[in-house]
Amino acid sequence: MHLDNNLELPDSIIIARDEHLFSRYIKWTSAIVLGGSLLAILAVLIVDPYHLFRFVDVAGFNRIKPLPDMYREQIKLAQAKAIQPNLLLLGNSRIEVGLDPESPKLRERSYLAYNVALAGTSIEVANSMLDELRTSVAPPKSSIVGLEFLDFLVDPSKSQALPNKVESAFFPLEWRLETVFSIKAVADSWRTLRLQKVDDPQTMTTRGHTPLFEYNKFARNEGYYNIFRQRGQENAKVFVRKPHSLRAAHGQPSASTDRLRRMLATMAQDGTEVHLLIYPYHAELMAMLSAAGLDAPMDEWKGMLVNEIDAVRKQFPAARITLWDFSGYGTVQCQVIPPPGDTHSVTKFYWEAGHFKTSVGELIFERILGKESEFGFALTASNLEQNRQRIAAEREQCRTLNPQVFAEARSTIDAARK
Amino acid sequence: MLFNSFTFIFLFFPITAVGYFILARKSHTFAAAWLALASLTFYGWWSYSYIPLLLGSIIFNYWMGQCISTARDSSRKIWLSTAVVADLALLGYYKYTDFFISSVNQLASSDFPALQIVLPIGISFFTFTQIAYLVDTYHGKVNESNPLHYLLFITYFPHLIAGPVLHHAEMMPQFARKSSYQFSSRNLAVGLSFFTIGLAKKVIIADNLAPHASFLFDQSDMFSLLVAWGGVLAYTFQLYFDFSGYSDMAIGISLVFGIRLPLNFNSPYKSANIIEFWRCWHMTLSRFLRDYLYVPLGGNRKGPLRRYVNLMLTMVLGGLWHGAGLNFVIWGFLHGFYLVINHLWNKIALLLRFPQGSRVWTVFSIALTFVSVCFAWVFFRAADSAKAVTIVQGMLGEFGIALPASIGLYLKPLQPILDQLGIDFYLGGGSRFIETWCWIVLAGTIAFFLPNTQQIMGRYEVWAESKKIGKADALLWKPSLRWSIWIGIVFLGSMLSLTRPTEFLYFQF
Repeated sequence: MHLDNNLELPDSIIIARDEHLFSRYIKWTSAIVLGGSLLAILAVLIVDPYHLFRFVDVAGFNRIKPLPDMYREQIKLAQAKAIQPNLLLLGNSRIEVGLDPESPKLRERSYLAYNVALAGTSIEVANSMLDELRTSVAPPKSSIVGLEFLDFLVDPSKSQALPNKVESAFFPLEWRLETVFSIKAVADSWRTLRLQKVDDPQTMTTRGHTPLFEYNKFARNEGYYNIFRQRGQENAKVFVRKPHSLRAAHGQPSASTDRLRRMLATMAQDGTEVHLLIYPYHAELMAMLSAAGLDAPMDEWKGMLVNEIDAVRKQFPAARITLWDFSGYGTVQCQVIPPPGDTHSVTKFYWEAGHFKTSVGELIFERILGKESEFGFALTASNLEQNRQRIAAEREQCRTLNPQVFAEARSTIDAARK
Repeated sequence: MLFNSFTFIFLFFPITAVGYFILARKSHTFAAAWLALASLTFYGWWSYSYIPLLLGSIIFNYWMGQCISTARDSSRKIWLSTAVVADLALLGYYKYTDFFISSVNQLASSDFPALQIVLPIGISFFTFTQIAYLVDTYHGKVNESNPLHYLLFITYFPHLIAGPVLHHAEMMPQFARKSSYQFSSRNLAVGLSFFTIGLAKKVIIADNLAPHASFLFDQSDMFSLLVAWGGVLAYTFQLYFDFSGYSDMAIGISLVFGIRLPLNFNSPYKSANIIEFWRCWHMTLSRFLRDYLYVPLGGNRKGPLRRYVNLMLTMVLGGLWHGAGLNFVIWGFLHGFYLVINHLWNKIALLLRFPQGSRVWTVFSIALTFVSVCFAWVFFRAADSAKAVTIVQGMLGEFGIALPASIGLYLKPLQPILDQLGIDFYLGGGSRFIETWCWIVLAGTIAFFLPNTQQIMGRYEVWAESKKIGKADALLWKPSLRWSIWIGIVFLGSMLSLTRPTEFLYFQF
C-alpha cells in the first residue's frame, strides 16, 4: 500500500479508508461514463446526422446532412422507407452523384424519387436494396437502374459463384446502435453543425443524392485537370487488369448478369417500369476503355443486355423495360477538360471522366421522360449496329475537336500497363 | 470473445465476476471451478469445436506433470521429453503443416495440396505455458497436485488467447491465496482503470492506425520514402498499442479477481539498445525463450561464438513461433543479428571506454534501435518477402520522395528547394497522407514521451521491472475525482469506438 500519509494509521483503518476512496472513485467514474453516454446519445438524436429520427429539422442548425461513410446502405433504406418513393434510382456512384431525385422534371410528373444508388457497389447490392424496399414498403412505380459495364466482365477460366451475403443476426441492432452510439455518430453530429456554414459541403441529401459539392473546392484549388488526371490514373489501373469476357468458365454468365436477370423479372412481375441506363462516360474514359481493348466486349455486352431484356419480355409480355445507351462521344461526353493549372474554368457536365454532374442527370431525365434528343439512344436488337455506327461517327468528330483527350487516354493506359 | 466488445464488458465479465465472488463466499473450490468454466465459455465463444483439443492438451500435460514429479532419475527425463515432443508435434501440426507442404512443393516442384488447417486460437500460448510447467516440474520447481487449479492456470481467460505466457510458480500461490477470493473495491478500481487504459490503446489508437498500415502493406502500389515510412511507422505503433493494450486489459481484468499477471510490455520503443528492447517487448515470451531455449542451448556459458549462435537460433525460432513463413524467419534472423551486433558493440565500447551514458548518445541509440526495429517489422507484417523488400527499398529512398499534390499547393514558396531535393508530387491521397502522419505523431508522442500504464498505476501496483516515473506526480493514478473524470472520459471514448470490435493482432499467432 503506498497511500500518502498513512504511516501512522493502523492497517485496518487504512484499508477501510482506502476501500471507501476506491468505492467512491468507482461511483464517480460510473456516473461520468453514464452521464457522458446519455449526453452523446442525446446529441446524436437532436442533431440527427443521418436523418433517421427527425425530432429536429432546423435550417442553419442541422438541415444539411454529412455524407455518411458507414452503413450508407442501411441509412438509405431507412430514409427511403420513411418517404415511400414511387421512383427508385439504383446503381453505383455515377447515379448516386449524377441523378438528383428532387429534380423539378420528376416533380412535374408526380414522381417521388429516392436515390438508393451506392458508390462502389454492384448490381447485387441494388438488387438486395430493391428487394428490401418492395417487400417492406411497396414495389415502386418506376425505377432507373444504372448498369456498370465493368461489373459484367469476368475471368473466363473461373467459375462464377454467387456471393452469399452472410449477415450476423445482430446486424440490425448493430447498425442502429452504431448510428446512435459511436464515436463516428458523435463526430458526424459535430460535422453536421459545422456543415451548415460551409460553401461546398460534402453532403448526402435526405433523398439519398450525393451532389459532390466538395469537388468545387478541389477544382478551385487544383483545377479540373488534376481531378480528371487523378481519377483517370485510378481507372486505368482497373481497366488494364479487367478480363475481357462476359462469360465465366463453361460459358456461365457473370454474377452481375444473373442478378440483372433476376431483378428485371422481379420488377416485371411487380409491374414496375424500368429504365436501364448505360452510363454517359466522358470521352476520355471511353477512349481509355478503347485503349484498354474493351470496345468489342462493350459492344458484346450491349447485345447481351438487349437479349436479356427480350427474354424477360417473352416471359412477362406486359414488362415495361427500356434500355438507354447514353455512352458515346457526343457534345455532352466530349466536353473539353480545362488545361493543367487552370483553376478558374468550370466544367458544365462532368466532375471527372467517370462522374457526370446533375446537368447531365437532367438531360437523362428529359430523355427518359420522352423528350427527343441525340443524347440517349433507346437500344433494341434491331438498332445495335446503328448505335455502333453512331458512336463511331461521334468518336471521329470528338477526336477532331478534342484530340488531346485521346492522347491522354492512351498515355494513361500505357502508364498503367507498366 | 474479445475484451474490446460490449458482450465481454457488459455481459461476460460482470456475470463472471459477480458469480465468482458470490461462490467464493461459500467455497473457494466452487469459485475456482466457476472461473475455469467461464474461461472455457470465453474460449468456446470463438469456436467451441476446439474446446476438446484445449481440454485434451490440459489433461495430457497435467498427467505428464504428475508422471514427471513421481518418476525417478532417468525416467523423469523420458517423461519430460515425451510430453514436450507431443506438445510441439501438436503445435507443429496446426501451425506448420501447410508451411511444410508449400516449402516441399517449392523445393521439389511438386503439387501436394495444402491441408488448409485452421489454427486453434491461443494454441501457441497454452502450449508454451504448459511446456514451461513441465520443465519446471522436471527441475522440481513446482509440484501441482490440484487438477482444478491447473485447469484454471491454463484456461484462465485473461491470458488464455494471447498471453502473457505464465509461469506456474507465479500463478499457483495466487490461486491458493485467500484474498484472491474476496471482493475488493481497490482491486476493482485499479483493475478497471488498468483495463480502461489498455482498451483505449487498442480501440482509439491501434484501430485507427490499422487502416494506414494496411494501406501500405496491402493496397498501395507507391512506395516513395514518406509513404513507405508512413505505413511502416503506422504498423510499428499499431502493433505496440494493440498488443500492449491487450496485455493491459488482461492485467486489469485479472486484478479484479485479485490475481496479478506479469508485465508484458515496458515502453519498448524507449529502449536504447536491442538487448533492452527485448527486455521490454513481449516480456513473458522473451522470458520463456531465454529460460527454455537460450539457456538450455548453452546460453553464454560456452564461449562468445556459441553465445551468438545460440542468440541467433533463439531469435529465429522465436520468429517461427509467430508464424510459419520465410518472413518470420527473416524477422527473427534480423533480431538475432541485431543482438549479436549489440553484444559485440558493448564489448568494443567497454574497451574504448565509450561514453554510452551521455545524453546525445542515448538519444541516438534510442533512434537507432527504433529504426532497426521498424525495418524488421516490415518482414513481420508484409505478405511476402518480395513485398517486404520493395517496402524496405522505399524506406531507403530508392523510389524517390513524393508528396501529395494537394500538399504541394501549400508549399509553393518552397518549390525551388523541393525541386532541388528531387521531391515529386502525386495526385490524390492528400487526406490519407495527412491522417497517417497525424496518427503517427500522436502515437509516437504517447509511446516516447508519456509514462506507460504500469507507471501511471505505479502508486498502487508495482512490478519489479517497471521503471519509476519520478516526480511526475500528476501522472500517477489515484482514486481521486480528477482521475475518475479522466478515466471516465477515456472509457466513454473507448465505448464509443467499440461498435465494430476488431481482433487483436496477436490472435493470429
